[in-house]
Amino acid sequence: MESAQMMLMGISFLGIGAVSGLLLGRKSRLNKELPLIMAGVGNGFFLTIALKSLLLGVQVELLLPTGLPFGPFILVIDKLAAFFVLLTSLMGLLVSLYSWGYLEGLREKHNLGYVGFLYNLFLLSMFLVITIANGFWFLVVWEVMSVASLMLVLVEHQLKEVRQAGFIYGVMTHFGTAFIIVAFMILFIQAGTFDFSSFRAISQNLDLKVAGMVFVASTIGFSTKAGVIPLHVWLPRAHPAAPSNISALMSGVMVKTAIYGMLRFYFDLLPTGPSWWGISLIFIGIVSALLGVIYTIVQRDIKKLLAYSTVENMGILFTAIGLALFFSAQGLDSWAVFAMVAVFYHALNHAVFKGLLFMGAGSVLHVTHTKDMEKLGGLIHKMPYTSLFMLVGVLAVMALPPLNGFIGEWLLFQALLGLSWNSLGAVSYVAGPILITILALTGGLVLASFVRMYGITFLALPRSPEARDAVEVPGTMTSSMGFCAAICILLGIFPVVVVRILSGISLALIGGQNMTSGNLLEQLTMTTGQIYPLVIWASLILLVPVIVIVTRLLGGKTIRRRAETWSCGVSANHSMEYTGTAFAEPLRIIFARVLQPQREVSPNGSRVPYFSNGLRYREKVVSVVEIYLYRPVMSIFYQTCKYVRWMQTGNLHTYLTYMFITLVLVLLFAR
Amino acid sequence: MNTVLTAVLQVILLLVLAPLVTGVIKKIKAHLQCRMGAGIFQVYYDIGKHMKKETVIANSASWIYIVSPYLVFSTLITATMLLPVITKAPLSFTGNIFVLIYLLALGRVMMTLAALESGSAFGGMGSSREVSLAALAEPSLILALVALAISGGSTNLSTIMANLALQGIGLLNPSHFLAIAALLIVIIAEVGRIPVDNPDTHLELTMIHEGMLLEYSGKGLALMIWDASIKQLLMLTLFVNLFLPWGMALAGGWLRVLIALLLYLLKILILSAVLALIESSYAKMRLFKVPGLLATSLALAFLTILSQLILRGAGK
Repeated sequence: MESAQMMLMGISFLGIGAVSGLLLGRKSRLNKELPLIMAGVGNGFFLTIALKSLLLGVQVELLLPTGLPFGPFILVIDKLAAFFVLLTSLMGLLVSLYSWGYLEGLREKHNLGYVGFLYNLFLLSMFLVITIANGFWFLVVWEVMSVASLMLVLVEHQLKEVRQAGFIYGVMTHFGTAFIIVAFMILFIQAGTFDFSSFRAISQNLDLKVAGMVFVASTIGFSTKAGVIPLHVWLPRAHPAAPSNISALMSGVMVKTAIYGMLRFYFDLLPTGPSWWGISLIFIGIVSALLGVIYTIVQRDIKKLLAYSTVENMGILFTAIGLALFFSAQGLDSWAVFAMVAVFYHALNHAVFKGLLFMGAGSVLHVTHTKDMEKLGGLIHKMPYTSLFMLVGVLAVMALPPLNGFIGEWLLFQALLGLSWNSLGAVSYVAGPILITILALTGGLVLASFVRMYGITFLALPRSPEARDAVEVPGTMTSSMGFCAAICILLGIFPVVVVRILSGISLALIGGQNMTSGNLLEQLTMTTGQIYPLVIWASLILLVPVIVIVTRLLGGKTIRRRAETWSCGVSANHSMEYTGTAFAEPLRIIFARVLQPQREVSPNGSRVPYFSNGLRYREKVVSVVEIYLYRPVMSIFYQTCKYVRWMQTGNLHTYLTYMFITLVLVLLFAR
Repeated sequence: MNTVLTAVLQVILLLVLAPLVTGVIKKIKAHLQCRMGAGIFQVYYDIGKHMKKETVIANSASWIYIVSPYLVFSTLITATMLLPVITKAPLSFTGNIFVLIYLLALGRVMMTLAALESGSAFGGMGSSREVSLAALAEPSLILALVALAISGGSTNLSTIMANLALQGIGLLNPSHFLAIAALLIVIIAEVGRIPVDNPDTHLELTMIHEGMLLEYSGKGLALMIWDASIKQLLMLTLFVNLFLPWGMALAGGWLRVLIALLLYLLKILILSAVLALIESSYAKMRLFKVPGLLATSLALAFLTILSQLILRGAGK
């Protein structure tokens, strides 16, 4: 089958899935199954196209006639789009499998047909966002994507916090979209049409000031969707509020559409910009990475912790994109390709492991009905597969060798050292090591945070009856997580194959003049340091039996005995365990400046403080960004509203008068 | 063949020698405190004793608890294979500074997770403190190594050490001393010695590393004790080979290797004495004073980069 036809098939299946969900509604049978099967098949088509286009280098084009004056609805899969289609369809396929089991838990309270409709619409809109090659239609499908995801966040709208999350998400996403509209409008004014091809045609003659304006507008717009600090406020609210399969898609894939948009603008539609483009992105990125991870440390809600981790990872991606932009502005094209490969590798990694982690958190939620880690514990005995796959995900997010996260991190570190190795001046000589240090601190904190999350949730004694009575989730859910874990491991063992494909995409994007060979990365790493993950894997795995044999030789047969943990004579129970809050305490104190923890300790029901019956302990952290940035803005906004309130009379005639006055003014001034 | 053989032998040497170094440091410390102290082979006796003992596992513990000591040991051996000790490392082609540091981090994760398994508060306490301090130590360690990597032009450990050795006496410039000072502080933190952690205590308010081992017994405990010694020697080796890279037999015949071995042992002995001296003359710090110490190390490493920049500018 031709690729274009396959694309049409993919779109149709997702469309049929959406419509069927809507028609089947709450009561009909198969209201979960049919939309999911359609979604699975649709994603399968897209996955095939993406692989075909990446491996064989075919460009796919599909033109759908619309009859509207905004230009053709044209879908193009070039190398850049193919990568993001691959990422989306891969996760879409796995999440669809996962949803089969997960949605059962929502059946009683929710309309599964409606969820299926939104689910397919959401996936379809993401594919369209990535493939569309027309600015106007981009904005349309972008909005469909935002609204579909917003409605999915609001599925469990009975809860107040979900409604609040939905509201904030709705406001923020439209704030971002407004800026993307501005970016496209500026380009439209220059080019005369909305077609990407015409944007591309004028890009070399574009005035750098105009290009700078487009850069700023698109960056603000896409940063909002990516959820980097300070535009992240919606992300840690909306991602946990959505059903977990949707969280996996939102955190794993949807935020990547922002990365796609940025790359499309910076490296395709805009000319090579000045250095400050890259520098500003690096700055935003590194701040997000560090602040994002500091907030993960204090979260009790597993899904909220994962959401803040997404903020952190987006920060890392921004840093890498900024680095690529900076190198490209300096004319160091081969280093720009290097940084760009790091972007793609990390984007792929993050999609897989964050999808895995959200699915794991969803499994825990599915069984225990809580995502508060202080009520969990000991799940490794009850949910062996989920725990094992989660461990892989946790090791991957910590960027530990020999898993995929490490490869991405390593590529970025090496690329950052390029700032010092190339003679780019004193500032960049110092900037490289500083950025690496901040990323290393981020990495160390991710490690602390995820040891806490995994240890408190899955290990030791259960802290609640729900955790004690947990059972393993159905096979569809575990197998989906298993696939993700396997991909994490494979991407960690065989990076060379992946890097070769990714450097092909990066080369196409950066388009350096004096680069022809595809293995330029190998030339770069040859002098600056190489790694062979397979060797490390082999060494780590093969040494274990050797150690077992040696210890056997030294000490004889191992006799193992189970016993209760010694707790000074009383029988051990869960109240003696270290809690997640206690685990985070040292880091909370160390980072008190950022977290500004407020604690309140009061003895309970006793007049004499020495013999209290109990203690009441409350502690909360505040978001510095929200207090110092959003609150002043909001208060100014409310003040302004107060002043114009007198205009709102509620009287129809008054409003008609307003409209008349407006019309007259428009006619007067906008001739 | 010879080079491969020596490369493998040096790994085994490091593994076998590690407990001895711990014993030597203890002995020097005892002498400084006017005690006799245990013999320098005491750690071997301890490991041997624990190896033969029965292993008691907490009811709440899972497979992570059981495999963790083996996996930690495996990460340490792999890390050792990346590090040139007296001659080229067996896996020097993948011997990247980032791989080394992140492999040690992998071991740390397994250990901290295992510490949480028994459900006692001590394990949690040790685990929490370990990851918190490690998160702050890691940047300093990476920055100090990166400073050397920048001047060495590569992130490969063997290349860095070879390049440093090539500089001859010119290596002993201010920037090198700054890097070394930064590295010394962070290595003390990494190996859990005074003033950051006290390896000889079981007092719950102060212990970090010992807290994590508290529930271990039998072979697991033996391996964990050995692990700690290996990690310590690994760090000390990294330190001496970066600080005084001369005499390493990165190429050459048996005689050179032999000389390199003797020099290496001498360097480690001197460094052990320095560590014992530091331990005897300082008190353990309060936990929340440690970040300040690590920040000092970070500042020193940063100054290294600045001074490199200045020296490079002056050289041009």
